[in-house]
Amino acid sequence: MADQLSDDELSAALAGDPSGFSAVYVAISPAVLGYFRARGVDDAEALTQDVFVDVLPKLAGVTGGHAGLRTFIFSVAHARLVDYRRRAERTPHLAEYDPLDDARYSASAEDEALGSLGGIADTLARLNEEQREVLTLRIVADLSIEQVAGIMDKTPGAIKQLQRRGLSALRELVTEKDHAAS
Amino acid sequence: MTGTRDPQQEDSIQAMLSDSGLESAAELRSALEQLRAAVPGEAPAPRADLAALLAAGAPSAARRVPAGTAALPTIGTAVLPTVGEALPTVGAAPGGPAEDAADEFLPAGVTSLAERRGRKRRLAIVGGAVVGAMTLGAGAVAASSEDFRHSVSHTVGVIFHPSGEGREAHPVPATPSPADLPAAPVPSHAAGTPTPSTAGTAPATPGSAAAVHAEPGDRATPPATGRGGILPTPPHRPVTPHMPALPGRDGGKDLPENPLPEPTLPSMLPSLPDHS
Repeated sequence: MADQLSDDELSAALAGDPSGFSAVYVAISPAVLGYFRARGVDDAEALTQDVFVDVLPKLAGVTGGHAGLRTFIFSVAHARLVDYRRRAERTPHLAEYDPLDDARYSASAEDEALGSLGGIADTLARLNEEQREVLTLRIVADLSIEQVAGIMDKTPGAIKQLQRRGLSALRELVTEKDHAAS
Repeated sequence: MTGTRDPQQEDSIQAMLSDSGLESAAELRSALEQLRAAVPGEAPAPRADLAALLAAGAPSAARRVPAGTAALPTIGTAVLPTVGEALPTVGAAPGGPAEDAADEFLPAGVTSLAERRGRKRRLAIVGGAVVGAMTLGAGAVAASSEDFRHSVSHTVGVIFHPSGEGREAHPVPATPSPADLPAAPVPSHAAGTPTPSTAGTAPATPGSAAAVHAEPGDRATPPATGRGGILPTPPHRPVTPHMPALPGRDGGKDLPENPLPEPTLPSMLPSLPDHS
């Protein structure tokens, strides 16, 4: 997730030169994919690609260097996520799949590869929507308080507050889970 | 992905925790690292439309990606180089074979111009077929109904033969002429020409007034030019009965005409008064 975008590639991309698109995609798409996964999107890869199909042709108008590019891409990703949630609300409710009820259950290779994301995703899901969004943007997308404030259209103070409350709630959930496990 | 691969990111988590006064919470810290592990190490393989977008800048990007980012071998070697190899050939030889190569790399949503041209040709062919079918249909109707043929030949005759030569042939279909007879006087009144009788003849004759006086035979010819084959002969006959009344209010211009139609009248007159 380190910023692998060189200055040349960045300036090419921000000038609207297609030669920089590939580098932007390689550098930032993993974070976008992780963001969607952490938020529990069904088809995170498809949504990630939607974001880049949307974003790449519009890079010419972006200012602010590395941070500006990242903020722009995650703004689009955030908007896509909101769209996704609204669409999901309108679609018929699907009964949640419970692996414990399924006799055919076997460990997911993807979950194993990704470590215990399944567990943390469940824990995150118990946070309130805004706290979850702030924590995901801060940690997975690696954005600053100010960038998150810009994306969520809130003041940096409000984001700090959400972050603090989110972390406290997460801590409680994690310790509670640890106690339950032990 | 272990979540501990980048010390800089750990620092950011640490900074975040200390911001919120939770720096001592080890379990929270590990939870956040787990969350960060949701970020995969590699970019997902782009699907077709995105690959097309990325391929637009592939020649330079392909050169850079394998050299610069060894950590991302799948994208760097699997996707970009293939496109990168293909595009330079297009740039090097913009001739025929190179264009074919370019067509193969058209992105999903793009149609080639050649295809559109083919569509236009298809449209022209369909249009031609429709017009041909309509012509055939009209021909079949003409072949089956005699009336249609007659009316067509009349109109064609009127259009292409300004001087009435075929007037002898036209009167033969006597059926249309009676119907036209009552109609003929009416327009003549509306037109303001003094004598309805001459309405049929007069419009055509005025120019040849001298001829009318000279010969009855010639007089019959001019009307054919004015109204076609149907009108000319009947108008003379019916008109004459009204003539006696009209001359009173009209000038002597029409008077000379009276003697001319009179010989023909006796045969037609009985039927016309019934209609009026």
